[in-house]
Amino acid sequence: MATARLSALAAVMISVWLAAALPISQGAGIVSLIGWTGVVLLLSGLTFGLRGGISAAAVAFVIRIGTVAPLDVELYPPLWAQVLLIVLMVEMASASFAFRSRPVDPLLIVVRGLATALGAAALVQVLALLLEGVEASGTLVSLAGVTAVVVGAGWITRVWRRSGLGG
Amino acid sequence: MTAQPSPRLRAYVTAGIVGLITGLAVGDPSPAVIGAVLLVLAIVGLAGSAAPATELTALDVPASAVEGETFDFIVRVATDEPIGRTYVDLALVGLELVDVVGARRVGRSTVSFMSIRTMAEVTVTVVPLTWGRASVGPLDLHTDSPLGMLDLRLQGSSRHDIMTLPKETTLKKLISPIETNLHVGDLVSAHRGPGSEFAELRMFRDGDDPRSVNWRVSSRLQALWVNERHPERNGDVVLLVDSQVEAGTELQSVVDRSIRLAASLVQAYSRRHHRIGIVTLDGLCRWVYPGMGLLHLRRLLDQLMGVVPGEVLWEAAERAVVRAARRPSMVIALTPLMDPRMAGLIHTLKRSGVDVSVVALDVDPVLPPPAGQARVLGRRIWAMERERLRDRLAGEGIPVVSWRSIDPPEVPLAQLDTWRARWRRLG
Repeated sequence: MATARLSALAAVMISVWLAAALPISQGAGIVSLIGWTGVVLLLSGLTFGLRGGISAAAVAFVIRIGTVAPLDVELYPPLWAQVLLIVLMVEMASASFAFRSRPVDPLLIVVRGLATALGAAALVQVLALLLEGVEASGTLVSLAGVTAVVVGAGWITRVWRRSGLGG
Repeated sequence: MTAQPSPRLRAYVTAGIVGLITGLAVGDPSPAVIGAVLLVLAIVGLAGSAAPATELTALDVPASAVEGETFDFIVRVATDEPIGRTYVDLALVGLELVDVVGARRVGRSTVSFMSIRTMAEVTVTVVPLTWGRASVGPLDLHTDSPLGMLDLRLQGSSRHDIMTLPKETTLKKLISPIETNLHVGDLVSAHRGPGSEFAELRMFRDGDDPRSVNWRVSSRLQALWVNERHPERNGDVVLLVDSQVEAGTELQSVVDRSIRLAASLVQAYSRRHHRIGIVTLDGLCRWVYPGMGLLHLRRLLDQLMGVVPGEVLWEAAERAVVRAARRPSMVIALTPLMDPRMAGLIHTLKRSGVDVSVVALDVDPVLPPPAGQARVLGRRIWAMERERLRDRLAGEGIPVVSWRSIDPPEVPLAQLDTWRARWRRLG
Protein backbone atom coordinates (compact mmCIF):
# COMPACT_ATOMS: atom_id res chain seq x y z
CA MET A 1 0.00 0.00 0.00
CA ALA A 2 2.92 2.31 0.72
CA THR A 3 4.29 1.79 -2.78
CA ALA A 4 0.84 2.54 -4.23
CA ARG A 5 0.68 5.82 -2.31
CA LEU A 6 4.24 6.68 -3.26
CA SER A 7 3.67 6.18 -6.98
CA ALA A 8 0.35 8.07 -6.79
CA LEU A 9 2.17 10.94 -5.09
CA ALA A 10 4.85 10.90 -7.79
CA ALA A 11 2.18 11.03 -10.52
CA VAL A 12 0.38 13.93 -8.85
CA MET A 13 3.65 15.86 -8.33
CA ILE A 14 4.54 15.46 -12.00
CA SER A 15 1.08 16.65 -13.05
CA VAL A 16 1.28 19.65 -10.70
CA TRP A 17 4.67 20.60 -12.11
CA LEU A 18 3.32 20.29 -15.65
CA ALA A 19 0.30 22.47 -14.82
CA ALA A 20 2.37 25.04 -12.99
CA ALA A 21 4.96 25.44 -15.76
CA LEU A 22 3.44 28.20 -17.85
CA PRO A 23 5.46 29.28 -20.91
CA ILE A 24 3.51 32.42 -21.73
CA SER A 25 1.46 35.24 -20.36
CA GLN A 26 -0.74 35.30 -23.48
CA GLY A 27 -3.58 32.78 -23.05
CA ALA A 28 -2.22 31.77 -19.67
CA GLY A 29 -5.71 31.61 -18.20
CA ILE A 30 -7.12 28.92 -20.50
CA VAL A 31 -3.83 26.96 -20.56
CA SER A 32 -3.64 27.07 -16.82
CA LEU A 33 -7.30 26.02 -16.52
CA ILE A 34 -6.78 23.00 -18.75
CA GLY A 35 -3.60 22.01 -16.89
CA TRP A 36 -5.15 22.25 -13.44
CA THR A 37 -8.25 20.42 -14.69
CA GLY A 38 -5.89 17.58 -15.60
CA VAL A 39 -4.41 17.65 -12.10
CA VAL A 40 -7.87 17.55 -10.49
CA LEU A 41 -8.98 14.70 -12.75
CA LEU A 42 -5.87 12.69 -11.93
CA LEU A 43 -6.17 13.38 -8.22
CA SER A 44 -9.83 12.39 -8.10
CA GLY A 45 -9.14 9.28 -10.17
CA LEU A 46 -6.38 8.19 -7.80
CA THR A 47 -8.41 9.07 -4.70
CA PHE A 48 -11.65 7.37 -5.69
CA GLY A 49 -10.08 4.48 -7.62
CA LEU A 50 -11.32 5.63 -11.03
CA ARG A 51 -8.90 4.38 -13.67
CA GLY A 52 -10.44 6.73 -16.23
CA GLY A 53 -8.87 9.61 -14.28
CA ILE A 54 -5.47 8.73 -15.76
CA SER A 55 -6.77 8.86 -19.33
CA ALA A 56 -8.63 12.11 -18.62
CA ALA A 57 -5.51 13.73 -17.17
CA ALA A 58 -3.37 12.60 -20.12
CA VAL A 59 -5.97 13.98 -22.55
CA ALA A 60 -6.05 17.30 -20.67
CA PHE A 61 -2.27 17.69 -20.93
CA VAL A 62 -2.28 16.82 -24.64
CA ILE A 63 -5.03 19.42 -25.25
CA ARG A 64 -2.99 21.88 -23.21
CA ILE A 65 -0.06 21.38 -25.57
CA GLY A 66 -2.47 21.78 -28.49
CA THR A 67 -3.62 25.10 -27.03
CA VAL A 68 -0.11 26.47 -26.56
CA ALA A 69 1.44 25.12 -29.78
CA PRO A 70 -0.21 27.48 -32.33
CA LEU A 71 0.78 30.55 -30.29
CA ASP A 72 3.88 32.38 -31.38
CA VAL A 73 5.95 31.49 -28.30
CA GLU A 74 8.59 28.96 -27.46
CA LEU A 75 7.14 25.91 -25.78
CA TYR A 76 8.29 25.50 -22.19
CA PRO A 77 9.21 22.90 -21.12
CA PRO A 78 10.18 21.65 -24.58
CA LEU A 79 7.91 19.16 -26.32
CA TRP A 80 10.07 16.11 -25.60
CA ALA A 81 10.19 17.00 -21.89
CA GLN A 82 6.41 17.44 -21.78
CA VAL A 83 5.92 14.01 -23.36
CA LEU A 84 8.45 12.52 -20.97
CA LEU A 85 6.49 13.94 -18.03
CA ILE A 86 3.07 12.97 -19.39
CA VAL A 87 4.19 9.38 -19.98
CA LEU A 88 5.87 9.25 -16.55
CA MET A 89 2.69 10.56 -14.96
CA VAL A 90 0.62 7.89 -16.73
CA GLU A 91 3.11 5.18 -15.75
CA MET A 92 3.22 6.19 -12.10
CA ALA A 93 -0.55 6.54 -11.79
CA SER A 94 -1.05 3.22 -13.56
CA ALA A 95 1.51 1.61 -11.24
CA SER A 96 -0.42 2.94 -8.28
CA PHE A 97 -3.52 1.05 -9.43
CA ALA A 98 -1.45 -2.07 -10.08
CA PHE A 99 0.08 -1.94 -6.57
CA ARG A 100 -3.38 -1.61 -5.06
CA SER A 101 -5.01 -4.47 -6.90
CA ARG A 102 -2.39 -7.23 -7.10
CA PRO A 103 1.19 -8.10 -6.24
CA VAL A 104 3.66 -6.58 -8.69
CA ASP A 105 7.39 -6.06 -8.82
CA PRO A 106 8.02 -2.35 -8.02
CA LEU A 107 11.45 -2.34 -9.64
CA LEU A 108 10.12 -3.81 -12.88
CA ILE A 109 7.31 -1.27 -12.98
CA VAL A 110 9.59 1.72 -12.38
CA VAL A 111 12.22 0.56 -14.89
CA ARG A 112 9.55 -0.13 -17.49
CA GLY A 113 7.93 3.25 -16.86
CA LEU A 114 11.22 5.12 -17.20
CA ALA A 115 12.16 3.23 -20.36
CA THR A 116 8.77 3.95 -21.92
CA ALA A 117 8.98 7.65 -21.04
CA LEU A 118 12.51 8.00 -22.42
CA GLY A 119 11.57 6.09 -25.58
CA ALA A 120 8.51 8.30 -26.12
CA ALA A 121 10.52 11.49 -25.52
CA ALA A 122 13.22 10.40 -27.98
CA LEU A 123 10.63 9.52 -30.59
CA VAL A 124 8.88 12.89 -30.18
CA GLN A 125 12.18 14.72 -30.51
CA VAL A 126 13.00 12.83 -33.73
CA LEU A 127 9.56 13.57 -35.18
CA ALA A 128 9.71 17.20 -34.09
CA LEU A 129 13.05 17.61 -35.90
CA LEU A 130 11.63 15.97 -39.01
CA LEU A 131 8.53 18.16 -38.98
CA GLU A 132 10.28 21.39 -38.08
CA GLY A 133 8.84 24.27 -40.12
CA VAL A 134 6.00 22.21 -41.45
CA GLU A 135 2.70 24.09 -41.75
CA ALA A 136 0.04 21.61 -40.75
CA SER A 137 -2.97 23.17 -42.42
CA GLY A 138 -4.94 22.92 -45.60
CA THR A 139 -7.37 20.32 -47.02
CA LEU A 140 -4.67 17.81 -47.94
CA VAL A 141 -3.17 17.82 -44.46
CA SER A 142 -6.60 17.49 -42.89
CA LEU A 143 -7.41 14.59 -45.18
CA ALA A 144 -4.10 12.92 -44.36
CA GLY A 145 -4.72 13.49 -40.66
CA VAL A 146 -8.21 11.98 -40.73
CA THR A 147 -6.87 9.03 -42.73
CA ALA A 148 -4.12 8.57 -40.13
CA VAL A 149 -6.68 8.63 -37.31
CA VAL A 150 -8.90 6.07 -39.07
CA VAL A 151 -5.96 3.80 -39.96
CA GLY A 152 -4.54 4.11 -36.43
CA ALA A 153 -7.90 3.30 -34.85
CA GLY A 154 -8.35 0.35 -37.21
CA TRP A 155 -4.91 -0.96 -36.42
CA ILE A 156 -5.50 -0.70 -32.69
CA THR A 157 -8.85 -2.46 -33.03
CA ARG A 158 -7.19 -5.28 -34.97
CA VAL A 159 -4.40 -5.72 -32.43
CA TRP A 160 -6.91 -5.38 -29.60
CA ARG A 161 -9.03 -8.21 -30.98
CA ARG A 162 -6.00 -10.43 -31.55
CA SER A 163 -4.87 -9.92 -27.99
CA GLY A 164 -8.10 -11.47 -26.76
CA LEU A 165 -9.41 -8.34 -25.11
CA GLY A 166 -12.75 -8.74 -26.83
CA GLY A 167 -13.33 -11.88 -24.77
CA MET B 1 -6.60 -16.65 -19.21
CA THR B 2 -8.49 -13.38 -19.45
CA ALA B 3 -6.87 -10.11 -20.54
CA GLN B 4 -7.85 -6.66 -19.32
CA PRO B 5 -6.38 -3.45 -20.71
CA SER B 6 -4.16 -1.75 -18.18
CA PRO B 7 -4.91 1.89 -17.27
CA ARG B 8 -1.79 2.97 -19.19
CA LEU B 9 -3.02 1.33 -22.40
CA ARG B 10 -6.36 3.15 -22.10
CA ALA B 11 -4.55 6.41 -21.38
CA TYR B 12 -2.17 6.08 -24.37
CA VAL B 13 -4.94 5.18 -26.83
CA THR B 14 -7.31 7.94 -25.65
CA ALA B 15 -4.65 10.65 -25.43
CA GLY B 16 -3.13 9.50 -28.74
CA ILE B 17 -6.40 9.83 -30.65
CA VAL B 18 -7.18 13.16 -28.95
CA GLY B 19 -3.66 14.38 -29.87
CA LEU B 20 -4.16 13.59 -33.56
CA ILE B 21 -7.57 15.27 -33.62
CA THR B 22 -6.23 18.30 -31.71
CA GLY B 23 -3.36 18.57 -34.19
CA LEU B 24 -5.87 18.69 -37.02
CA ALA B 25 -8.08 21.16 -35.20
CA VAL B 26 -5.35 23.68 -34.34
CA GLY B 27 -3.31 23.18 -37.48
CA ASP B 28 -0.08 22.47 -35.61
CA PRO B 29 1.94 19.25 -35.75
CA SER B 30 2.98 19.23 -32.05
CA PRO B 31 -0.15 17.61 -30.57
CA ALA B 32 -0.32 15.26 -33.56
CA VAL B 33 3.29 14.22 -32.93
CA ILE B 34 2.51 13.47 -29.30
CA GLY B 35 -0.67 11.62 -30.32
CA ALA B 36 1.21 9.57 -32.90
CA VAL B 37 3.93 8.65 -30.38
CA LEU B 38 1.39 7.63 -27.76
CA LEU B 39 -0.43 5.49 -30.31
CA VAL B 40 2.86 3.92 -31.36
CA LEU B 41 3.50 3.04 -27.68
CA ALA B 42 0.04 1.43 -27.46
CA ILE B 43 0.51 -0.53 -30.68
CA VAL B 44 4.01 -1.71 -29.79
CA GLY B 45 2.76 -2.73 -26.35
CA LEU B 46 -0.18 -4.62 -27.76
CA ALA B 47 1.71 -6.41 -30.52
CA GLY B 48 2.37 -9.98 -29.47
CA SER B 49 0.33 -9.61 -26.31
CA ALA B 50 -2.16 -12.40 -26.97
CA ALA B 51 -3.26 -14.13 -23.78
CA PRO B 52 -1.60 -17.59 -23.70
CA ALA B 53 -3.61 -20.72 -22.90
CA THR B 54 -2.66 -21.43 -19.30
CA GLU B 55 -3.66 -24.04 -16.77
CA LEU B 56 -3.43 -23.56 -13.03
CA THR B 57 -3.96 -26.43 -10.59
CA ALA B 58 -3.35 -27.31 -6.97
CA LEU B 59 -2.32 -30.94 -6.55
CA ASP B 60 -2.10 -33.32 -3.60
CA VAL B 61 -4.14 -31.12 -1.28
CA PRO B 62 -5.15 -33.40 1.60
CA ALA B 63 -8.77 -33.76 2.63
CA SER B 64 -7.89 -33.52 6.31
CA ALA B 65 -5.06 -32.24 8.44
CA VAL B 66 -4.18 -31.85 12.09
CA GLU B 67 -3.80 -28.41 13.61
CA GLY B 68 -0.21 -27.36 14.10
CA GLU B 69 1.14 -30.10 11.80
CA THR B 70 2.53 -28.94 8.46
CA PHE B 71 1.60 -30.49 5.14
CA ASP B 72 2.64 -29.92 1.54
CA PHE B 73 0.79 -29.49 -1.70
CA ILE B 74 1.85 -28.64 -5.23
CA VAL B 75 0.84 -25.71 -7.39
CA ARG B 76 1.32 -26.31 -11.10
CA VAL B 77 1.19 -23.68 -13.83
CA ALA B 78 1.27 -24.94 -17.43
CA THR B 79 1.28 -22.53 -20.36
CA ASP B 80 1.59 -22.86 -24.11
CA GLU B 81 3.65 -19.66 -24.42
CA PRO B 82 6.32 -18.29 -22.08
CA ILE B 83 5.04 -15.77 -19.57
CA GLY B 84 7.04 -13.32 -17.48
CA ARG B 85 6.80 -12.44 -13.82
CA THR B 86 3.76 -14.31 -12.51
CA TYR B 87 2.01 -14.14 -9.16
CA VAL B 88 -0.28 -16.86 -7.84
CA ASP B 89 -2.56 -16.04 -4.93
CA LEU B 90 -3.19 -19.26 -3.02
CA ALA B 91 -6.24 -17.87 -1.16
CA LEU B 92 -5.40 -19.71 2.06
CA VAL B 93 -8.15 -19.76 4.67
CA GLY B 94 -7.30 -21.06 8.15
CA LEU B 95 -3.78 -21.94 6.97
CA GLU B 96 -0.44 -20.20 7.31
CA LEU B 97 2.20 -20.30 4.62
CA VAL B 98 5.38 -21.82 6.05
CA ASP B 99 7.66 -22.50 3.12
CA VAL B 100 7.74 -22.37 -0.67
CA VAL B 101 10.11 -24.43 -2.81
CA GLY B 102 10.44 -23.55 -6.48
CA ALA B 103 9.18 -19.98 -6.30
CA ARG B 104 9.42 -16.87 -4.17
CA ARG B 105 7.04 -16.13 -1.34
CA VAL B 106 5.28 -12.77 -1.53
CA GLY B 107 3.11 -11.62 1.36
CA ARG B 108 0.80 -13.85 3.36
CA SER B 109 -0.45 -16.24 0.70
CA THR B 110 1.10 -15.39 -2.65
CA VAL B 111 3.93 -17.06 -4.55
CA SER B 112 5.83 -15.47 -7.41
CA PHE B 113 7.55 -17.03 -10.44
CA MET B 114 10.26 -15.07 -12.24
CA SER B 115 9.17 -16.54 -15.57
CA ILE B 116 7.47 -19.67 -16.84
CA ARG B 117 8.48 -21.32 -20.10
CA THR B 118 6.00 -24.16 -20.41
CA MET B 119 5.43 -25.51 -16.93
CA ALA B 120 6.34 -24.62 -13.38
CA GLU B 121 5.69 -26.49 -10.17
CA VAL B 122 6.03 -25.19 -6.67
CA THR B 123 5.83 -27.14 -3.42
CA VAL B 124 3.98 -25.17 -0.79
CA THR B 125 4.19 -26.01 2.91
CA VAL B 126 1.38 -24.75 5.12
CA VAL B 127 0.27 -25.24 8.69
CA PRO B 128 -3.36 -25.24 9.88
CA LEU B 129 -3.87 -22.55 12.48
CA THR B 130 -6.77 -24.09 14.39
CA TRP B 131 -9.35 -26.83 14.10
CA GLY B 132 -12.31 -26.36 11.82
CA ARG B 133 -12.58 -25.91 8.13
CA ALA B 134 -9.65 -24.61 6.14
CA SER B 135 -9.33 -24.21 2.40
CA VAL B 136 -6.88 -23.65 -0.44
CA GLY B 137 -8.03 -21.71 -3.48
CA PRO B 138 -9.54 -20.98 -5.82
CA LEU B 139 -6.06 -20.06 -7.03
CA ASP B 140 -5.71 -16.72 -8.76
CA LEU B 141 -2.91 -16.07 -11.27
CA HIS B 142 -1.81 -12.56 -12.24
CA THR B 143 0.72 -11.59 -14.84
CA ASP B 144 1.39 -8.81 -17.33
CA SER B 145 1.79 -8.95 -21.08
CA PRO B 146 5.46 -8.50 -22.14
CA LEU B 147 5.24 -4.68 -22.17
CA GLY B 148 2.62 -4.46 -19.46
CA MET B 149 -0.20 -3.15 -21.62
CA LEU B 150 -2.53 -5.96 -20.59
CA ASP B 151 -3.34 -7.38 -17.17
CA LEU B 152 -3.61 -11.14 -17.61
CA ARG B 153 -5.55 -13.08 -15.03
CA LEU B 154 -6.54 -16.69 -14.57
CA GLN B 155 -8.85 -18.13 -11.93
CA GLY B 156 -7.60 -21.61 -11.17
CA SER B 157 -9.18 -24.86 -10.07
CA SER B 158 -11.98 -24.89 -7.56
CA ARG B 159 -11.55 -24.52 -3.81
CA HIS B 160 -10.03 -27.45 -1.91
CA ASP B 161 -11.67 -27.85 1.49
CA ILE B 162 -9.54 -29.26 4.27
CA MET B 163 -10.97 -30.55 7.51
CA THR B 164 -8.56 -29.52 10.24
CA LEU B 165 -8.76 -31.75 13.27
CA PRO B 166 -7.64 -30.67 16.72
CA LYS B 167 -4.52 -32.37 18.01
CA GLU B 168 -5.68 -35.67 19.42
CA THR B 169 -5.29 -36.12 23.15
CA THR B 170 -4.28 -39.66 24.05
CA LEU B 171 -7.00 -41.04 26.26
CA LYS B 172 -5.70 -44.10 28.08
CA LYS B 173 -8.97 -44.97 29.74
CA LEU B 174 -12.41 -44.64 28.25
CA ILE B 175 -15.73 -45.26 29.90
CA SER B 176 -17.37 -48.35 28.48
CA PRO B 177 -21.02 -48.80 27.58
CA ILE B 178 -22.92 -51.04 29.97
CA GLU B 179 -24.94 -52.65 27.22
CA THR B 180 -23.24 -54.20 24.24
CA ASN B 181 -24.61 -55.05 20.82
CA LEU B 182 -23.98 -57.94 18.47
CA HIS B 183 -20.90 -56.69 16.64
CA VAL B 184 -17.42 -57.87 17.55
CA GLY B 185 -15.43 -55.45 19.67
CA ASP B 186 -13.22 -55.37 22.74
CA LEU B 187 -15.90 -55.08 25.41
CA VAL B 188 -16.58 -58.16 27.50
CA SER B 189 -20.28 -58.78 27.18
CA ALA B 190 -22.41 -59.92 30.12
CA HIS B 191 -23.93 -62.57 27.85
CA ARG B 192 -22.54 -66.03 27.18
CA GLY B 193 -21.13 -67.03 23.84
CA PRO B 194 -17.94 -67.62 21.90
CA GLY B 195 -15.17 -65.48 23.31
CA SER B 196 -11.95 -65.59 25.25
CA GLU B 197 -13.07 -64.37 28.69
CA PHE B 198 -13.97 -67.26 31.02
CA ALA B 199 -17.46 -66.95 32.59
CA GLU B 200 -18.32 -70.24 34.40
CA LEU B 201 -18.54 -74.03 34.16
CA ARG B 202 -21.73 -75.94 33.40
CA MET B 203 -22.79 -79.45 32.51
CA PHE B 204 -22.46 -80.55 28.90
CA ARG B 205 -25.65 -80.23 26.86
CA ASP B 206 -26.49 -81.60 23.43
CA GLY B 207 -25.18 -79.31 20.74
CA ASP B 208 -22.25 -78.01 22.78
CA ASP B 209 -18.95 -77.67 20.96
CA PRO B 210 -16.65 -80.55 22.07
CA ARG B 211 -13.77 -78.06 22.06
CA SER B 212 -15.34 -76.26 25.00
CA VAL B 213 -15.23 -79.36 27.24
CA ASN B 214 -13.07 -78.79 30.27
CA TRP B 215 -11.34 -82.18 30.44
CA ARG B 216 -9.61 -81.64 33.73
CA VAL B 217 -12.85 -80.84 35.59
CA SER B 218 -14.74 -83.53 33.65
CA SER B 219 -12.27 -86.30 34.70
CA ARG B 220 -12.37 -85.17 38.30
CA LEU B 221 -16.18 -85.04 38.47
CA GLN B 222 -16.75 -88.10 36.22
CA ALA B 223 -19.12 -86.12 33.95
CA LEU B 224 -18.77 -83.81 31.01
CA TRP B 225 -18.40 -80.17 31.95
CA VAL B 226 -17.89 -77.31 29.55
CA ASN B 227 -16.42 -73.81 29.89
CA GLU B 228 -18.75 -70.94 29.26
CA ARG B 229 -17.27 -67.68 28.03
CA HIS B 230 -18.19 -64.06 27.61
CA PRO B 231 -18.11 -62.88 23.99
CA GLU B 232 -16.24 -59.67 23.04
CA ARG B 233 -18.69 -57.19 21.69
CA ASN B 234 -18.72 -53.53 20.86
CA GLY B 235 -21.06 -50.86 22.12
CA ASP B 236 -22.83 -47.80 20.81
CA VAL B 237 -21.55 -44.46 22.01
CA VAL B 238 -23.32 -41.20 21.23
CA LEU B 239 -21.61 -37.87 21.99
CA LEU B 240 -23.88 -34.96 22.75
CA VAL B 241 -21.96 -31.73 22.16
CA ASP B 242 -23.58 -28.58 23.49
CA SER B 243 -22.21 -25.42 21.84
CA GLN B 244 -24.56 -22.83 23.30
CA VAL B 245 -22.61 -19.73 24.22
CA GLU B 246 -23.06 -16.04 23.77
CA ALA B 247 -21.28 -15.19 20.52
CA GLY B 248 -18.20 -13.00 20.74
CA THR B 249 -17.46 -13.80 24.38
CA GLU B 250 -14.66 -15.71 26.04
CA LEU B 251 -17.14 -18.54 26.54
CA GLN B 252 -16.35 -19.71 23.02
CA SER B 253 -13.20 -21.27 24.43
CA VAL B 254 -15.47 -23.61 26.43
CA VAL B 255 -16.93 -24.93 23.18
CA ASP B 256 -13.39 -25.22 21.84
CA ARG B 257 -12.52 -27.52 24.76
CA SER B 258 -15.58 -29.68 24.30
CA ILE B 259 -14.94 -30.02 20.55
CA ARG B 260 -11.34 -31.06 21.22
CA LEU B 261 -12.47 -33.66 23.75
CA ALA B 262 -15.23 -34.89 21.44
CA ALA B 263 -12.78 -35.30 18.54
CA SER B 264 -10.39 -37.25 20.77
CA LEU B 265 -13.25 -39.42 22.04
CA VAL B 266 -14.53 -40.12 18.53
CA GLN B 267 -11.10 -41.28 17.40
CA ALA B 268 -10.39 -43.27 20.55
CA TYR B 269 -13.75 -45.10 20.53
CA SER B 270 -13.39 -45.68 16.81
CA ARG B 271 -10.06 -47.43 17.36
CA ARG B 272 -11.76 -49.73 19.88
CA HIS B 273 -14.34 -50.76 17.28
CA HIS B 274 -17.30 -49.11 18.97
CA ARG B 275 -20.13 -47.71 16.95
CA ILE B 276 -20.16 -43.95 17.40
CA GLY B 277 -22.86 -41.40 16.83
CA ILE B 278 -22.93 -37.69 17.45
CA VAL B 279 -25.44 -34.93 18.12
CA THR B 280 -24.16 -31.37 17.86
CA LEU B 281 -26.38 -28.78 19.43
CA ASP B 282 -25.92 -25.47 17.65
CA GLY B 283 -28.03 -23.44 15.28
CA LEU B 284 -28.59 -26.51 13.12
CA CYS B 285 -28.79 -29.41 15.63
CA ARG B 286 -27.54 -32.16 13.33
CA TRP B 287 -27.00 -35.76 14.25
CA VAL B 288 -25.24 -38.85 12.89
CA TYR B 289 -26.51 -42.28 13.85
CA PRO B 290 -24.02 -44.66 15.48
CA GLY B 291 -21.87 -46.43 12.93
CA MET B 292 -18.40 -47.73 12.14
CA GLY B 293 -15.77 -47.42 9.46
CA LEU B 294 -13.48 -44.78 8.05
CA LEU B 295 -16.17 -43.06 6.04
CA HIS B 296 -18.38 -42.83 9.09
CA LEU B 297 -15.48 -41.48 11.15
CA ARG B 298 -14.95 -38.79 8.55
CA ARG B 299 -18.63 -37.85 8.64
CA LEU B 300 -18.49 -37.55 12.42
CA LEU B 301 -15.39 -35.38 12.41
CA ASP B 302 -16.70 -33.29 9.56
CA GLN B 303 -19.87 -32.53 11.51
CA LEU B 304 -17.86 -31.81 14.63
CA MET B 305 -15.55 -29.40 12.80
CA GLY B 306 -18.58 -27.60 11.40
CA VAL B 307 -19.96 -26.66 14.82
CA VAL B 308 -20.63 -22.95 15.14
CA PRO B 309 -20.81 -21.73 18.75
CA GLY B 310 -23.90 -19.66 19.34
CA GLU B 311 -27.61 -20.04 19.92
CA VAL B 312 -29.06 -23.55 20.02
CA LEU B 313 -32.26 -24.32 18.18
CA TRP B 314 -33.87 -26.11 21.13
CA GLU B 315 -37.01 -27.01 19.16
CA ALA B 316 -34.87 -29.20 16.91
CA ALA B 317 -32.51 -30.33 19.68
CA GLU B 318 -34.93 -32.71 21.39
CA ARG B 319 -35.85 -34.39 18.11
CA ALA B 320 -32.17 -34.80 17.20
CA VAL B 321 -31.25 -36.25 20.57
CA VAL B 322 -34.21 -38.64 20.74
CA ARG B 323 -33.49 -39.94 17.23
CA ALA B 324 -29.77 -40.49 17.56
CA ALA B 325 -29.49 -41.57 21.18
CA ARG B 326 -31.46 -44.76 21.73
CA ARG B 327 -30.86 -47.87 23.76
CA PRO B 328 -28.44 -49.60 23.92
CA SER B 329 -26.35 -46.47 23.29
CA MET B 330 -24.25 -44.87 25.97
CA VAL B 331 -24.55 -41.08 25.76
CA ILE B 332 -21.76 -38.77 26.90
CA ALA B 333 -22.96 -35.17 27.11
CA LEU B 334 -20.25 -32.49 26.87
CA THR B 335 -21.90 -29.33 28.11
CA PRO B 336 -21.27 -26.30 30.28
CA LEU B 337 -24.81 -26.90 31.65
CA MET B 338 -25.77 -23.26 31.36
CA ASP B 339 -29.30 -23.83 30.13
CA PRO B 340 -32.03 -25.74 32.02
CA ARG B 341 -33.23 -27.05 28.65
CA MET B 342 -29.98 -29.00 28.28
CA ALA B 343 -30.59 -30.56 31.69
CA GLY B 344 -34.13 -31.31 30.51
CA LEU B 345 -32.77 -33.18 27.46
CA ILE B 346 -30.45 -35.26 29.62
CA HIS B 347 -33.31 -35.97 32.00
CA THR B 348 -35.48 -37.15 29.04
CA LEU B 349 -32.74 -39.52 27.91
CA LYS B 350 -32.38 -40.98 31.39
CA ARG B 351 -36.12 -41.50 31.67
CA SER B 352 -36.15 -43.40 28.39
CA GLY B 353 -33.58 -45.81 29.81
CA VAL B 354 -30.49 -44.55 28.03
CA ASP B 355 -27.16 -44.85 29.83
CA VAL B 356 -26.13 -41.20 30.02
CA SER B 357 -23.12 -39.46 31.59
CA VAL B 358 -22.38 -35.76 31.76
CA VAL B 359 -19.07 -33.91 31.54
CA ALA B 360 -19.93 -30.41 32.77
CA LEU B 361 -17.34 -27.92 31.53
CA ASP B 362 -16.30 -25.32 34.04
CA VAL B 363 -17.02 -21.83 32.73
CA ASP B 364 -15.90 -19.70 35.69
CA PRO B 365 -12.21 -19.28 34.72
CA VAL B 366 -13.08 -17.80 31.33
CA LEU B 367 -15.58 -15.27 32.67
CA PRO B 368 -14.36 -11.74 33.32
CA PRO B 369 -14.33 -10.78 36.99
CA PRO B 370 -17.67 -9.20 37.98
CA ALA B 371 -17.57 -5.45 38.48
CA GLY B 372 -19.77 -4.14 41.23
CA GLN B 373 -21.70 -5.70 44.05
CA ALA B 374 -24.81 -6.38 41.96
CA ARG B 375 -22.80 -8.30 39.38
CA VAL B 376 -21.00 -10.29 42.06
CA LEU B 377 -24.38 -11.25 43.49
CA GLY B 378 -25.71 -12.08 40.03
CA ARG B 379 -22.69 -14.28 39.33
CA ARG B 380 -23.22 -16.12 42.62
CA ILE B 381 -26.89 -16.72 41.89
CA TRP B 382 -26.03 -18.01 38.41
CA ALA B 383 -23.37 -20.35 39.84
CA MET B 384 -25.92 -21.66 42.33
CA GLU B 385 -28.43 -22.27 39.56
CA ARG B 386 -25.87 -24.28 37.60
CA GLU B 387 -24.97 -26.17 40.76
CA ARG B 388 -28.65 -26.95 41.28
CA LEU B 389 -28.92 -28.32 37.73
CA ARG B 390 -25.93 -30.59 38.34
CA ASP B 391 -27.36 -31.76 41.69
CA ARG B 392 -30.73 -32.44 40.14
CA LEU B 393 -29.17 -34.63 37.45
CA ALA B 394 -26.93 -36.38 39.94
CA GLY B 395 -29.96 -37.00 42.13
CA GLU B 396 -31.55 -38.91 39.27
CA GLY B 397 -28.57 -41.23 39.12
CA ILE B 398 -26.85 -39.54 36.20
CA PRO B 399 -23.07 -39.37 36.60
CA VAL B 400 -22.13 -35.68 36.39
CA VAL B 401 -18.52 -34.57 36.71
CA SER B 402 -17.12 -31.08 36.45
CA TRP B 403 -14.19 -30.60 34.10
CA ARG B 404 -11.99 -27.74 35.21
CA SER B 405 -9.96 -25.97 32.57
CA ILE B 406 -6.69 -26.83 34.31
CA ASP B 407 -7.38 -30.57 34.26
CA PRO B 408 -6.45 -32.84 31.37
CA PRO B 409 -9.42 -34.56 29.71
CA GLU B 410 -8.56 -37.87 31.33
CA VAL B 411 -9.58 -36.51 34.75
CA PRO B 412 -13.33 -36.19 34.09
CA LEU B 413 -13.33 -39.51 32.24
CA ALA B 414 -11.66 -41.24 35.19
CA GLN B 415 -14.14 -39.61 37.57
CA LEU B 416 -17.04 -40.76 35.42
CA ASP B 417 -15.64 -44.29 35.35
CA THR B 418 -15.34 -44.36 39.13
CA TRP B 419 -18.85 -43.00 39.54
CA ARG B 420 -20.34 -45.54 37.14
CA ALA B 421 -18.47 -48.42 38.74
CA ARG B 422 -19.77 -47.37 42.17
CA TRP B 423 -23.35 -47.13 40.92
CA ARG B 424 -23.06 -50.56 39.31
CA ARG B 425 -21.78 -52.07 42.55
CA LEU B 426 -24.66 -50.50 44.44
CA GLY B 427 -27.00 -52.11 41.93
